[in-house]
Amino acid sequence: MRTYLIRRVIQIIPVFLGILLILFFLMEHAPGGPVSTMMDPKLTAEQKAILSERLDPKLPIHQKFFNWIIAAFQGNLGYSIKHRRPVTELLGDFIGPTFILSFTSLILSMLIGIPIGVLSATQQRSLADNASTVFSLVGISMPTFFFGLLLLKFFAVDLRLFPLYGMRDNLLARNATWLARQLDVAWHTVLPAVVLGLASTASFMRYTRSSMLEVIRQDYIRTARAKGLKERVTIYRHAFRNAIIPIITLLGFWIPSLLSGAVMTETIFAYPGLGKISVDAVNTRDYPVILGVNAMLSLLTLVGALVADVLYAIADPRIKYE
Amino acid sequence: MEIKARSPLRVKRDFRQSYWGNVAYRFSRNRLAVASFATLFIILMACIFVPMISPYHMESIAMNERDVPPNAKHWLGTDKIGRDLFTRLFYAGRISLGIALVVTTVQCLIGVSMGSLAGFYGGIVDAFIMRLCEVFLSFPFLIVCVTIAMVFGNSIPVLILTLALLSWPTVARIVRGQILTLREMEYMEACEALGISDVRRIFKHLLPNVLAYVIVYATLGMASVILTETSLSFLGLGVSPPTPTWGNLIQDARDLLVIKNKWWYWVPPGLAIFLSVICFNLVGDGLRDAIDPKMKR
Amino acid sequence: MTSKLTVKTLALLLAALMVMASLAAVAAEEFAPGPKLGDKRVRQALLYALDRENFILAQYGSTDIAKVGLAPLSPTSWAFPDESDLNAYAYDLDKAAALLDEAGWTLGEDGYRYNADGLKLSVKWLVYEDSPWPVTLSSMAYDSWKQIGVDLVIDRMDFNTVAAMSMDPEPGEKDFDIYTMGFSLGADPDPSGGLFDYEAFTAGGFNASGYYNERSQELIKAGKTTFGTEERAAIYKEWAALMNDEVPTSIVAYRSEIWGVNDRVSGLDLGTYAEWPDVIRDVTLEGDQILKLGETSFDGKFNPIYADKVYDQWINYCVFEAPIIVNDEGEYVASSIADYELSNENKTYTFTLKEGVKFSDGEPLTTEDFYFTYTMIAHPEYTGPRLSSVMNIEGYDEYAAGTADTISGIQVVDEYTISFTFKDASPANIVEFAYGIVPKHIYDDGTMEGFLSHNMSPVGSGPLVLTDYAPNQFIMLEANESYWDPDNAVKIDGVYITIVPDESKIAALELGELDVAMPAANIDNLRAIEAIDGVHVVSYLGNGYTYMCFNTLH
Repeated sequence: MRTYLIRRVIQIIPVFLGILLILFFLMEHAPGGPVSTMMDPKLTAEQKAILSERLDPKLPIHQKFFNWIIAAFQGNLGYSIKHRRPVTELLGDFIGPTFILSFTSLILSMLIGIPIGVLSATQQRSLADNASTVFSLVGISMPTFFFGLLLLKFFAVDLRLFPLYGMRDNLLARNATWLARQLDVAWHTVLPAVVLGLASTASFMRYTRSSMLEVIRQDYIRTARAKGLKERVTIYRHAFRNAIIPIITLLGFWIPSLLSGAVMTETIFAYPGLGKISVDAVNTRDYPVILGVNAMLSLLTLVGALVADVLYAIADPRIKYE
Repeated sequence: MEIKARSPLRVKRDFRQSYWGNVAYRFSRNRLAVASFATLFIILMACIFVPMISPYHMESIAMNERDVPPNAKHWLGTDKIGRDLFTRLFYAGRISLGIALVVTTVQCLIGVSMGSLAGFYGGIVDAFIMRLCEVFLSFPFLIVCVTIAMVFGNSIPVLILTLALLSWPTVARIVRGQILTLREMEYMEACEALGISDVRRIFKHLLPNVLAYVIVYATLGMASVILTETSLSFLGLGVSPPTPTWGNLIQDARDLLVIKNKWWYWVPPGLAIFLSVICFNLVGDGLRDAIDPKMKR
Repeated sequence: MTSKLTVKTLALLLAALMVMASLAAVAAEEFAPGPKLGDKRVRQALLYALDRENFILAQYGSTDIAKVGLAPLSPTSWAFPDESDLNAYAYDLDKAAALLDEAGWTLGEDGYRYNADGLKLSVKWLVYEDSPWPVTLSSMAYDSWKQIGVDLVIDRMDFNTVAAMSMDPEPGEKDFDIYTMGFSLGADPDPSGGLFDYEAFTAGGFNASGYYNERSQELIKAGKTTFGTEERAAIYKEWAALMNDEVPTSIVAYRSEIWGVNDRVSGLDLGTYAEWPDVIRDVTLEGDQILKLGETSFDGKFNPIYADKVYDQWINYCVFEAPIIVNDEGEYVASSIADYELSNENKTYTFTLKEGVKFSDGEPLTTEDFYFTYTMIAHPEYTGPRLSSVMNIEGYDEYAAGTADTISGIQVVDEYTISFTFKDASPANIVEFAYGIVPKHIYDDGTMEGFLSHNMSPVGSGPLVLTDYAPNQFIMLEANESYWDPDNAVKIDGVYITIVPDESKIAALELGELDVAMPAANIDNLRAIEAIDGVHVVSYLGNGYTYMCFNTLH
């Protein structure tokens, strides 16, 4: 197991370097530059050239790459051109909300998706099963922002149950207790989390259902039933535990994908997270930020895949890695 | 007089005996899947034959009939510069479905080739291709799409290439997995013993079996491309106007006022997307059940 | 001997003159006005055949949102001529037809006009669909121009492609006949570098029409070098009238800005040139004493020499104070913290700071801070948008090259007096002083990094202080309790600014979550705000206009 882990970690290195190379290549060939978005007619061509050189010095690409990697190892990802702050600081500010959003959405999807998946597997062809099948189909077919705008209109504007945008009501927060502030954040997170979690809830439902179905058909379940075990015990202790294994391994993939998929949701609800920052960075050609965000998310995905494999090995003693 | 010899072993051809015939038969028993297939067919036909159905061109403007809700003259109303939305909906369908088809095809071509190479040759080739897959799979999807659009511009070919490049690894993995399983089977060993060449083995013996799974994936992939195109249009990056796509048309609904007062702007394209995606998913599921009935979903 | 030299020099001079003349001839040949749009009568005819009044009603629905354009200056500016001196090109098909006949374009049998060389009067218009108005305008033009025999070909694309085909290519290679776009004006009417300046007729420059008029260039130059508002007003009025007559580029419409304001807010002073904090200085509120404003995004660069976004500037104007401000008529005048005098043939500005001006931490504002703010712009690591402020100061080049330790053109006379000497005298130089002054004792730690670290927590001498900022979420401004000028302090307790997506602004107004917001200016939003109980609309002409550019080389 340990050798497998070490081998996998070592394998991540060339993959990550490959990713960085591709990203760097993209940045170098992007048209315009940070100065082109400063459309001030009073700036002469001479002044633009000076600013351009200061903001983005013209070094050969391998040297830039080298500098960036060395700096990154020391925790320095450069300066955001637009915000004039260290990229790490920028990422740090905004990754928190994205994390909260993704995490909440993940928990919600698991809490809803998995039990319903189990239910529909154990009671096939019942109303619950059919309803959940329809729901999961709808869930993976609905465009995110469509759903988001519908919810926004219905719950926030018409019914006034939830806030329109943002992560907290800051005016309120200044004079409120810690508990009140946390509740306020939670209240603001509900709608975005539901929207973000729609597709993952549907997925969890489907995967749990098929996994459970496969397990239930196994011989050892039949044995358990023959032994006279109560149906409940059979299902929960034996079938579920085994069925859940592939689901758990999915977590390793879901988390990075939720982080990057939050782009749409954050834009609709003005939730101050990474998604909005990345789109802004692309629009203003803020290369250090684009590079930083892409690199970080790619690394997280790679690590996530590794974690998924390891979890699988831990959870299922049948799996042996050499 | 010539006597035509008849083979005594000649059996009446029953299509159920062939592999694909079997699949088609099982598929036809699945009513939901058949209904979805029929729906998709209707949508496709409407998109292709829209010039014959509608008297309007997708760009013809009628300034005095702007913002009109559905009526007898304009079945789905007009938009804010007077274009007929019914016509635009189906022209948009051409583009959206067309893009989905091309992306899926390119994706499968690359994926199948890479996957077969990796699965068949193993060793270093396999390791390299797998690492390549990881590279492409690790990119945060939307953000990289956005980045590529910034660098290379916003045209349809760029969009198609980007989407294909980011999703071929999934196909490759499926193909590789299947090949790994099949490779060990006895009949492959028999082929090798008989001295059949590598290429022949890949193409004639392995691929047809893998193809079934690839087709299932492709159908589901079409659904996913349509959804992605919608998201990209929302972020302002998909196909740019005046070319209509379903994602483009829905973009107008960004404004809460439009959602409230002008439902005919966004409900038809929304429904079109929704319906096609659901149908593709159902057809894909139906195919999967038909191909491997043991794998009950 | 001397006569031989003189002859030689004379000969050289003559040769040089001849070369220059031929070069000029070549240049003039290269960029000679074209047969179609190079003729003023054709351009005027096209305008007479365009029903702009109806276009505005059709597109914008109300004159609260847009007005027919007349000249390339803002109608609220002190430099704007009398409207009676300008031609509004009111819709008149007969007049248009007459002008075309006069210009030698006769109606052919197919209904289109041809000139003596057999060239068809066909024009290609680049239309982008990102906004609806170019499409509306061009389709209206298609119909009415056909009636006078002009063949309009509409080329549809997106905004970036229009810019790439019109402004980016080299002069002489610009591939369009007509294109339409929007433009923003500054408070100073100087049109240098803009759509009408021949110097801006370059690859990537704003002027894509290629129109050359000697008088126009003379006037532009005169306006840049003459001092005195009245004298400059006369220059620009003549220039605007000239451009209105020649129309190398026609101003289609002036655009307004609309605000939704909750009825509990009184005394809000919005207008074309209204600057924060003057906008809110007289505001009184019923109920909660915090004004709630919503805008789409802030960069968090709350630093007067680095901010490049309009919304960041709002904050800067509230927190910092500048020696020069813009008054309601769009003139640059001395502010409450300083007076200035011109000398040395108008090249030197001597500022006398008022005594008693204090930063919000109690420290006095002196010339040391003034000097510091400007030398930071000249810092070799400066990458902000205000480089032009120091590049024209005498001694800057030597300082930048490293041959001088300080900029010779900036002289600190004493604690309250400082002088700036520019290389050339120009009334536009005063614009460079319209930005806030930062406190040296807080911002100066010897490095640019240290200087920038205060971007999100600015300290200034203004009537408001920034007490809280969460990026992409909100900004909290509170009244400066120790403001040095208590008579001019703000009356409310503070301003709370939320980051709101554009689409949700009106809903937020309706729900009472915002007191003030500025949504996109269109008729739907206007009607929606009017329909809300307890909220009223404030609209005024903004600084932007939409224009239609003729490629006079075609």
